[in-house]
Amino acid sequence: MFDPDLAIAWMGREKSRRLANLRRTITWASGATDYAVSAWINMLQPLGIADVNWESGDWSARPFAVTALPGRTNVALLTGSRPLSLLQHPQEGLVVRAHPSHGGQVPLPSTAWLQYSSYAHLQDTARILGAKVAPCAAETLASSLSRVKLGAPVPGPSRTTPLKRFDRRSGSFRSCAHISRPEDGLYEYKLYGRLPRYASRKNGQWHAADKLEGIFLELPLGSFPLRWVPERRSRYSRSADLGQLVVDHRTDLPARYKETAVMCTGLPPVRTKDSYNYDGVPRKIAERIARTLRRRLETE
Amino acid sequence: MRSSERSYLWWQERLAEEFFSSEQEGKPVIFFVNKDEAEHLHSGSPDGVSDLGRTVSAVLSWQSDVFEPVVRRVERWKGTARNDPPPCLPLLAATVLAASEMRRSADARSHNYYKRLAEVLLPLYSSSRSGDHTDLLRNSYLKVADLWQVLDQWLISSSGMRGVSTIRTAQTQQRRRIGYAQSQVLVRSSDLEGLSDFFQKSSAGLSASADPAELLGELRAWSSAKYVFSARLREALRTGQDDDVLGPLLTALAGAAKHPPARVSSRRLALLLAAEEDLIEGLQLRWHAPVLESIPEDVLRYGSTEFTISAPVGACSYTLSGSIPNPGEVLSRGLEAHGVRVSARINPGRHVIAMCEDSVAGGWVETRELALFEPHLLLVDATGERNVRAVAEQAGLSWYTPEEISVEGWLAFPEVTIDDAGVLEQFATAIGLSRAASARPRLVGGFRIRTALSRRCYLIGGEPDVILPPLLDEEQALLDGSPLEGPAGEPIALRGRGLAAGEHQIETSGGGLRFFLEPAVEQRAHAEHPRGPVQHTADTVFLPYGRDSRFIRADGSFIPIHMGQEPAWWSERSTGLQPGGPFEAQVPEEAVWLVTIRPGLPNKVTQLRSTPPAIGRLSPPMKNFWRALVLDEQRNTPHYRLWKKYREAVLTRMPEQGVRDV
Repeated sequence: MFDPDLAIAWMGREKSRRLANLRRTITWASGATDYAVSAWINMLQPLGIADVNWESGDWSARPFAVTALPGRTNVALLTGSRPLSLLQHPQEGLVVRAHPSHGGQVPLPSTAWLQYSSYAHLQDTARILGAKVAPCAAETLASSLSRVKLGAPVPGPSRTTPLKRFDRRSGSFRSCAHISRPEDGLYEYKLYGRLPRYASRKNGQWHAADKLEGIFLELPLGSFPLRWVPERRSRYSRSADLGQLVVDHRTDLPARYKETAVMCTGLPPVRTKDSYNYDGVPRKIAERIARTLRRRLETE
Repeated sequence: MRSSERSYLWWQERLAEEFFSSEQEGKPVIFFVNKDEAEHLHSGSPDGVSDLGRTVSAVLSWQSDVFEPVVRRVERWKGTARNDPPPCLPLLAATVLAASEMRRSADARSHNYYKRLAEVLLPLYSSSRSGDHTDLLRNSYLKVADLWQVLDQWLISSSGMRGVSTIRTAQTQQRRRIGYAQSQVLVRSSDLEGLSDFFQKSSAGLSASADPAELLGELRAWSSAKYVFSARLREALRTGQDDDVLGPLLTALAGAAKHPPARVSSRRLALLLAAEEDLIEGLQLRWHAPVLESIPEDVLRYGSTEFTISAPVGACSYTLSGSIPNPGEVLSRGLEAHGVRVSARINPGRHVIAMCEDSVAGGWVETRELALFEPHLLLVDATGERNVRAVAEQAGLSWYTPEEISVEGWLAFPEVTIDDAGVLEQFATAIGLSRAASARPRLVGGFRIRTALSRRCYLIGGEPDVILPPLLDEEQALLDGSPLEGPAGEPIALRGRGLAAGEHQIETSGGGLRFFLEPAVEQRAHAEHPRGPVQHTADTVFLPYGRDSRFIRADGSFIPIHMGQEPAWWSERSTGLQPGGPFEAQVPEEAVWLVTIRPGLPNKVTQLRSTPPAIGRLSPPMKNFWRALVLDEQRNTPHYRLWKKYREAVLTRMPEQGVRDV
């Protein structure tokens, strides 16, 4: 019964509101668990549909745009709040792929592409659709990625707050005994019993931290490398540029990096037993992601 | 002192202070009490003081002559110096509250009035025969009309020191008794400014003896081009159905308008606490202030600072800016803020604050009444927590540990839903709240749009669910006039019913509600786009996948174009992207021709530059490639001549027999 594209059309109408309201509405519409709804909301930004700020508790829909995919394949991705009519009755050249849900997940919004024969065709079609033509989002995002670094100094959790410290070997957070002077590392704690917060401790000072960026900062340089697998079917250099970026499931990409990888196709990553696989990622973008996350990129 | 007596005295004092204080001197008094106003007046009351309806109900004599106990109080008051208003204010306020619940003129029949009065007063005994309360109230109501006259006489005898009386009634038989109460809801204090202007310009003049019909006629003409009055007064003027009450009231107001201090009394801003779930910070308290009619903005001062309320046209709630009062501090110290047109007061010392979901505020908003089947959020301080726990245990409600919130010393019991009317009554009474007079249908969920402007507007396809109250035997809820099936107290989906765009209505005996639907598919304007970021340049060409395409230089050599298959993810991820589409290729600087060999089809030759041929030595692969081209004349094309020169130059380098013969 839940139509994710209707939900996106609704977000486009509302422009921006509070995250609490979005969670309530999607929970009502999908009948899914809080966890599944959070996972759905978390994918809105990588899919280029809306900006989600968990810190401020707001979301805002991105404007409708078409952006070329990398690799000169003459395929553009429709991003932002796409008109519902376009997805229900796609016109010639428009390709829409729905994402059925599995095992209690909330179905993700459809991916919509435009196959164009020339730039004039792309411009004209975009004008007819009422969309803005944007430069290749994947390449733009990749060039804006900067090396992960320690966040701004923050007060940190109170002395009585239970802490969990990130364990480099297992790649998970483990409860640590209460100590008045925590050692350096990445910590997880809760305020008012709500969603976990994260902070890095370095030389006795607490720093603001995003969970996933914090993990990459914390991991030893040689560990958890990223892998890039070139497309096996390709025999020529144009398509051989593209490949699959494979990321260990314990260290999924932080939001900006994830969005960069997803914008290479518009498709969410494929979750396997051990990894998240991002398709259609050009090697140079994979290298940029790995380098800025302080990882090695292994290739086959 | 019994708690019912204590409540009654509190309400008497509160109403006297609000409507009949010495600050009212010379001003017409509109004894207007509707549901919001009653809630506002009740806010900040000490623990144990019940709401207006329950307070009055508790002192009435429901077994015989209903209003007699209040009449006796007034008789005793007559034997005093009569410095204070007669002790019938809570009862009279309740009768006005009942009149305010008759929202439309068409409801103004007396039978409907007594029904609403019964709902307000919540009779303490129950009866299997419906209508008993209504009859009982109707039969005794003459005494209430007498009490209105007592109040009128007291105001007159006070020489306007406690306000100028506007108490009038209809001369028609049908509304002679109930007209007193009804007259007080036709005009709001915000209307007085506009009426004052009117009286100044009216030919009927400022006179208490002005002809009501003449005043009404002039007022209709005067106000037709203006939008200065409240919705209720506009409706009364438009329909004429309240003329028998409104006419005498206007006469009274015209007489009162002669009196100088014409300061318009300040209206009460309902500054309500609202709570919003923040996944990281926990429950956050803020303010929600519903818009008061014809007051788009004001600046309210409190202490040494101030905050602004403002609302764009059509908005449902104000936006607060400036030094917004801190909810935590207000809970402990209270608030008294005054603006030019509105004021707000919140008393300290509350221990339990109930909240209900409010779609306009987009979260939980403070309420004075608990409703059956509706989820509530209870904010409690330490005292409130003890009280709530004790009552919950007594009522057999399952209970959970309250959560911390961002305000020090306060906790929250989230999602408290009561589905038993008796337990609700017991619970509400114990924590000093009222219960909703009648359970009404409510909407939950839905893709709600136009949140700032409309309470209930949704996208088609995202219609909300409706929760129906318990219905009487054989009663049926109606959706747009057709039966709506479904269990009471549980969400009934409105999605998938093919509801069209526009207004829809759900009706039950307890009340109805309307909602609006808008299509999700909207017409989009064609946007203008800057041609910049993605430009077609002469340096690139678009070529089909899977074909043999090559660039040819002036010396006859070729540059193969890598034209692999479509990306693997197109098919592996079942995208539906079509093979055979074009890809983009960079044009080398030295390329003169672009040639695509298409098996079974004519070759496609494109001239890229006009460089003349300078054919050099051709390698065997180049010769092989040219063999397929030298016979292709490209007749009737713009590049025919240059292409011919290239073919002839190549032929001079290809002495093989086969080609020469041809």
